[in-house]
Amino acid sequence: MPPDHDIPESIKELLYAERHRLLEDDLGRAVRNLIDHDVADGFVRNMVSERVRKHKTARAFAGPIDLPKLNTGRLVLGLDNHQGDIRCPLSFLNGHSLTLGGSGCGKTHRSRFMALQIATQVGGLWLFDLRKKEYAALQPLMARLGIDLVVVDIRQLKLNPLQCPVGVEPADWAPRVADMLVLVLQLPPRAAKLIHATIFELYNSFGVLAGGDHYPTMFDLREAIRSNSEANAQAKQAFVDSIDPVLLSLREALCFRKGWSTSDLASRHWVLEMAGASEVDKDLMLNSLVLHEFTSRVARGVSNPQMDLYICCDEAARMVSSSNPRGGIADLIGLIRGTGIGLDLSIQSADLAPSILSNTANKFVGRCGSASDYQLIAGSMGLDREQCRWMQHHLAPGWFVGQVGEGNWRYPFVVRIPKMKLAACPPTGFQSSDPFADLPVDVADEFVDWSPNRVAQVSTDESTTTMPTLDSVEIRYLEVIIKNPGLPSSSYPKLAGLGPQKAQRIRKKLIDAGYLIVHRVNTGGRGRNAIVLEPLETAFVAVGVRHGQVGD
Amino acid sequence: MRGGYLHNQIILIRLAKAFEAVGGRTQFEASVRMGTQWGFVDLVVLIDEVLIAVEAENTARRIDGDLKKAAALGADQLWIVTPNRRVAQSVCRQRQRLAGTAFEGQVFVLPLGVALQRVTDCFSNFSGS
Repeated sequence: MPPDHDIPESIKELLYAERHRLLEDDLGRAVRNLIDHDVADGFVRNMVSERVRKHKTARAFAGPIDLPKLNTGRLVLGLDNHQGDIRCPLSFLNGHSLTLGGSGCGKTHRSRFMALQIATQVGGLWLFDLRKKEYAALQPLMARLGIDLVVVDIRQLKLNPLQCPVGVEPADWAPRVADMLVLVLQLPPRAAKLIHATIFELYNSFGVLAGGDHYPTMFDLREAIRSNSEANAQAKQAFVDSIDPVLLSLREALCFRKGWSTSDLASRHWVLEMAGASEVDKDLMLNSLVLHEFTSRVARGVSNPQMDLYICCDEAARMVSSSNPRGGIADLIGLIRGTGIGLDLSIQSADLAPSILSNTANKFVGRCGSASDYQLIAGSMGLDREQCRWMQHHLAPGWFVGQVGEGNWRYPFVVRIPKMKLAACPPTGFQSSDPFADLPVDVADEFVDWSPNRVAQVSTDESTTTMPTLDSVEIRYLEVIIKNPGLPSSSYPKLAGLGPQKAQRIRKKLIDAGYLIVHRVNTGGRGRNAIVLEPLETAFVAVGVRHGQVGD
Repeated sequence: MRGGYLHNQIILIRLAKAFEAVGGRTQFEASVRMGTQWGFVDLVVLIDEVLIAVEAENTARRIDGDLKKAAALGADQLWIVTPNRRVAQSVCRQRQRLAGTAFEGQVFVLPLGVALQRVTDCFSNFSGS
């Protein structure tokens, strides 16, 4: 490399123009061609000088960060200093994105702006609200795009972490889920072997290894480990102690032998609200979802496809913290790349696991409150001292310094996120209590009321219970009541083809025997309350109808 | 659907059928967000652009929650439907003690028969009264 003073001024200008991509239009290319062939005269060289001079003047006013040369692609990252669109192709987001900024700098606004654009271009959109409830406000805007954005509370999930993902063999899934549980529950390494072996035994006893889809649940796993007298005592106790609060907290979300398949969820647009849940609960559900989907994609041979699933994690600090280097997303992020999943993380401080910085190609930094945050992100984005200082003094809410990881333009740029009209609070009302009701699930009824402290079950042994024998007329009377619920008792004799006196005798007998109970209900608007008969479980058994199968 | 036979089979299902018969859209167990908590309204009905929250109550213990849920839902009316007049009177007394609750819409405390009659009277083109 020759000393700087040995290089002619015209070459310096040419190098400057090349570095800042000032010769990329038709005229610029023609000028460069002339210079390359050494046929450039003073007029041509002056064109280069003029462009360089203008660019330097513009930079003097605009600051040390250049206007980006990102003009192509369907995705708008935001607006530049001249209110022009900054664009990039959707495929750039395959490399994952990280947004760093203090509270109120506009991180959530940026991720909502991106989600709104990406929603129509991908098959699935998962928005994880780890701390707040801010993505639900996108519902009306998504609805205008024809997208039904479903908001799911963490306790409305229907998942079974032990359910094998689509295309994954049970024998391959058992060690993975064992490792995941050790990671999430922060168990000693010895527990991984115990959990792995127990899951394998459960898969065998439930017929999963033979191809069945009647999966054991986390409750089965807990009971199996707790009752294993030969297991390492410390590992066993650590697992039981850690899993019990999770099972109690997420009982209604985990009591499924077959829960929602992530392959089905990957084609939905939904928000998972986890505010209020414990960190372990969040870790378990988040890892279950992401690990399921990733493992399934790897097993199905999905590699470097077009992005079809975009995952956004707001306030993901704990998931990516340097104090939790093997926790949550940090351990998975390097693996997710290349499976058609785009991940967008937003955090408030640069307390980051090393793998997060290494595996997020696109970075955005907003207004921060700490010099160390600026230093760390500036180092990873390749900002010089002047740019870093500019950033500290000039960034305002909604403004970011960004850098994309792909394409020709890898320099930092300033981007402003345009304002959006969002509802102040998320819509309430016709929000289903059973989201994704169309997805098949298999409920583990025996664990619906699970408690870690075993409750003595009082058995109703039919051989010892003395129920009076019912004749065919009494059975017919019960059938009529079951099939016509809520009618006044005076309606049933006619329906059963009985006289009123006989019907009254039968009714009294059935009430005394515990088949029916009586309610006094105002069914007619005026006059006395009607006697309404409620058939009890014994009545359903006597008639041979499953409780709940009631016809009109 | 949560609740026992009286709550579900006798009150809610009959009311839902009555509303559907006069053109209402019904949804059982509609969830509403109340700050950080979720609540479930027993039956939500949209009829003639009126949003009605229907709560079936066998006692007066949960009236405060019913009013909050109706407010969170943004309902125009709250119908508290009871099996008989005795419970309805008890609910009315409890409501008077809870004066100043956030729900600004109309509240009707109705025994089942009166509620069914009200559906016909107020929303049907062919009133039965």
